[in-house]
Amino acid sequence: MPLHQISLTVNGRRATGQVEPAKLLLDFLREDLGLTGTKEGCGTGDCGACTVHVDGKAMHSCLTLGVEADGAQVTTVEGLASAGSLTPIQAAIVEYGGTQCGFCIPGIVMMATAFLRDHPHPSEDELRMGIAGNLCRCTGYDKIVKGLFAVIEGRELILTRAGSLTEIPLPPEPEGE
Amino acid sequence: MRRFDYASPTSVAEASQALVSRPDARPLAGGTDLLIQMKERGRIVPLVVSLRRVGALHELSANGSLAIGAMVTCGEVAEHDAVRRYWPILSDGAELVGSIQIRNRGTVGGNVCNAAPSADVSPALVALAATAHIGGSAGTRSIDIEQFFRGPGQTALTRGEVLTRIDVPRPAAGSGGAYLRHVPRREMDIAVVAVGVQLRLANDGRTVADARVVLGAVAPVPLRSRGAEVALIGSTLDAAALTRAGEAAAADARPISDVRATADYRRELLKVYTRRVAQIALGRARANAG
Repeated sequence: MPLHQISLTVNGRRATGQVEPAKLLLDFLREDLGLTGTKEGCGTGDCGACTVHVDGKAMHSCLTLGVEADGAQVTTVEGLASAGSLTPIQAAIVEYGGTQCGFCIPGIVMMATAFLRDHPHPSEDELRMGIAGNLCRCTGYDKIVKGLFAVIEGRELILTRAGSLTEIPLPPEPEGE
Repeated sequence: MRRFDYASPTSVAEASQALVSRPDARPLAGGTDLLIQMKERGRIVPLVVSLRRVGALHELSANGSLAIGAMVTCGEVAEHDAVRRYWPILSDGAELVGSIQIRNRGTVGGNVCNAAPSADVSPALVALAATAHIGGSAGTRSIDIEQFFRGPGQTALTRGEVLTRIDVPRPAAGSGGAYLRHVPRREMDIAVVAVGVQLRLANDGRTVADARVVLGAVAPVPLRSRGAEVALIGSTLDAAALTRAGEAAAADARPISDVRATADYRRELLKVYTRRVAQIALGRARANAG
């Protein structure tokens, strides 16, 4: 099985590699690039944990071959905000307790980011359908949805007070204890 | 997933040559069915022939009739303004495929060629009397989409042939269509039964002049219910006609009992869904009568 040379843009940087045809984009991101924010849950396109953006569209990296992403612009959860900051969607999920075990959250963040870009003012039903391809095994949907509505309605987040609306500095590490 | 060879030709002719070069070579469209079969069900494909670089297959146009290249995604069709306006039965179906992530990757051509009896795009295409264009090393041919489906996972494609485009005629004024499926959950599930109805009102704006009723997930292929069509044509979709159509659909269906539902339950559901979908189609036809 000959290796295939691929060249793509991941989080704004050029990434190249030699991949076997059977190597999934998911595994290329995690193993070759060390971007382990993208998770594999089911591996069959049911759970959405592996969601990334390919040319701006949310899709499953577990159902995309690395060779098929040749030439694409890929964004993973690591590429949404610069180091040390969060996007409002990420900040809201933190602040509203949307993260429980956390495994589904990178996929939810990627799906919600694409969905709210395309549908900035959804109803609750539309939003829930928008993220229906993302399963949270902790069943923490309510807090995730409440957090997303805080963003949709432009509500102030404690984490956003100090920062801009597009990029939020993380609070300093607490001292002591 | 077993290792495989990979080719990414840039023309249908090259793709066709690659497909005949190895037994069991398979074309790859979005991969949302094929890769799962290879990963989870041990399907062995020695050569995967990607169609992503065949530019013509990505074209979607609605100049008069609708031309859907085989690589156009379900999401593109579901969100296309002209499709939603003139072919709403098709956007209904495309919108129900998987999740947003699946629709952004899964293609109309793949949904059709995978030939699952529960496929959500196929009944709409049959109801709209679409034509499938097929390319291969021996030339091109076109067939009525209804003849394309031969059984679960079975199509009219012969070795080396590729579905290239689906053409859908533009329905006349006074036409309306709709597609619904029954699922126990709202998303990320496949149809227990599905019904597509495409109808056209006569000039009086009341009488059904023409109708196609297509049933999904209740036969080996998307199945036209001639009985339901006869019940609807010439009626004003009064309660008696709707009841007759539902009963005819239930009689024409050939459902199986499986983990999702019994055959009897599927027949009962068809009575409800045929009526419900015909009424939505009627509402759209009236809105489209001008």
